[in-house]
Amino acid sequence: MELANSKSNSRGKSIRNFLGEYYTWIMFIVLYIVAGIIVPNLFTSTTMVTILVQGTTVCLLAFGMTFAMLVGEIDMSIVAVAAFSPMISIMLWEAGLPVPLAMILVLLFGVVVGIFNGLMVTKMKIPSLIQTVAVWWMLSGFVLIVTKGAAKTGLPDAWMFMGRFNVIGRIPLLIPFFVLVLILAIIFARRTVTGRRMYLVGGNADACAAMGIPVDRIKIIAFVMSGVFAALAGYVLSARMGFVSARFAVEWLMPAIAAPVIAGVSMNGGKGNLINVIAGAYLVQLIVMIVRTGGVGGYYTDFVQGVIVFIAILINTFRERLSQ
Amino acid sequence: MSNENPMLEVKNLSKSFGTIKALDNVSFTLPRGKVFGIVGDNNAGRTTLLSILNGALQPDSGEFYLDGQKADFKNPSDAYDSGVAMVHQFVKLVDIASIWENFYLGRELTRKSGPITLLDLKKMRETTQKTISGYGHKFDVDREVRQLSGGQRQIVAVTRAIDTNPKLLLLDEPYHGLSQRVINDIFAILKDARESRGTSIIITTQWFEQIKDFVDEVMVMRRGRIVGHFDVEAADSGHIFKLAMGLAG
Ligand SMILES: Nc1ncnc2c1ncn2[C@@H]1O[C@H](COP(=O)(O)OP(=O)(O)OP(=O)(O)O)[C@@H](O)[C@H]1O
Ligand SMILES: [Mg+2]
Repeated sequence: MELANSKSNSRGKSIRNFLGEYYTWIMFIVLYIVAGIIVPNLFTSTTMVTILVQGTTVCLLAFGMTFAMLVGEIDMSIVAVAAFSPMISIMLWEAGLPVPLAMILVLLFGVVVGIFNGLMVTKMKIPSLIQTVAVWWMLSGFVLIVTKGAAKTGLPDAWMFMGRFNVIGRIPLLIPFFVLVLILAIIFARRTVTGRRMYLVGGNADACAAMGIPVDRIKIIAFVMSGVFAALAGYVLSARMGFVSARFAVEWLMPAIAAPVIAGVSMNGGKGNLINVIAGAYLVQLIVMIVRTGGVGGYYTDFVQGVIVFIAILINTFRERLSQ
Repeated sequence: MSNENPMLEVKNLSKSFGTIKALDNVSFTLPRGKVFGIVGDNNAGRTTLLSILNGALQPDSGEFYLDGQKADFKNPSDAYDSGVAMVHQFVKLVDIASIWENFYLGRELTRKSGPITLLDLKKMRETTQKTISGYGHKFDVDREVRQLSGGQRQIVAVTRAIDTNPKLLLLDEPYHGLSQRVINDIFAILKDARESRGTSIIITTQWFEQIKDFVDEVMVMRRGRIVGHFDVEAADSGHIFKLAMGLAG
């Protein structure tokens, strides 16, 4: 009986559910249009492509962060991984390693750091905030030692191919690659046993363990995902910019935390829609861009960005409260 | 598997937490298809015993045999693989996940899609709906578990355990804080499992009266020991109460 009743108004309800679910996209689109009035160039295809391309870094970092958050943890080491992985790989290339191997090595570093973080958090019971801040510090410190602070330019062409070769118009090869990676990540999270178990473990690890789910392993895999996405973010950034440096990507840590939170990913674990994280990442990217080009002077930029991100988080938090 | 083996044979199980002896040299044999009740006051050691049988805890000493095989469970997953399911005293469900996801927690259904294995969401949803409504409960299985009442949560936990088709089903006070109507529902589900599948069951309680009509034999536990073991026909409520409370001479 209940079922029959719900069917008659199910269409109105499902549209409302849809809008509620993808609220972050609405925020992004609304902000884009409003900002377009202030920043005139925003609707040109050039600017749109620029935002699309520049946003890949924060989006990949945010995806990585989301996997850690889904299992109720956090990964602060992502920006260090994003600098360390391409930097060490490039140095090994300079020492004679073939480019393809160097590129594979980038991802491998992400995997290894992820396993290390995951093992320390699950087996040694170190809080992930402490563990990953320590790793962040160690990795970026290590990069400083080996580079003495100097940036690396003159990356091999094959390395930069993704960032420099345009498939259509001004859209570089990295965009289709990026889209493919996002789609695979979304399928992984929603449709595979391991991916869904991340949500369940984040929801109630104890209940999962009682039903035989290997909770530690699921958490370790989540850290591997965040490590790999961080490494990818670093690679993509270097392929686009044509250099790597010790402080590479570091300004993207706060956006990478803010993006999932704006998108409704719960920091307690168990909740979060990756499709919304894309919107969250581009929303943050847009805010950064507006503030930079909108004439907010040098010393004010960080503050204004922080305030806008904070407001976005507030809006989404209130919306979630109301919908419950 | 030979049918002469008892379903479960427990030999001299002991388990301590610091100086507390939660289980003290416990032995008993559960014949195939039988239902045992365990009556005990708080801290009797019932949850500890069932947790060992379910692989969540490991004994300090002693052993147990399942269907004639020595069990060496390192975790609940091992127990599940050997056909042991448990319903916990404090129901273990993921609040923010749907009913069907909880129903298939840890034993998700999948389908092959080319080279990759994906979750079979549709089948899990439908089967959960069918199974639970088969027991006379109308649930919208897409609802999150946190929206359910205590009784509904317990129904989900019990039907889930039975759905794994266990050889041995462990129920730790499965009617804790529930209304009589829900308790009756749960016993109806359990009786059905017992009659149609011959499931062997251990069920714990504080009050013998609660399980009297359901069990074949009753054991009384107190401070980690078995202090009484009766056929249900020969059991006297008053005497069992005194044993459980430590009042019997
Ligand atoms: N993980 C643990 N750590 C320390 N002590 C424990 C632990 N689990 C159980 N105990 C102790 O072991 C004893 C037996 O506990 P158990 O939970 O098995 O009893 P019970 O019969 O299930 O009682 P109830 O469910 O009414 O609390 C108690 O004294 C309890 O405090
Ligand atoms: Mg108990």
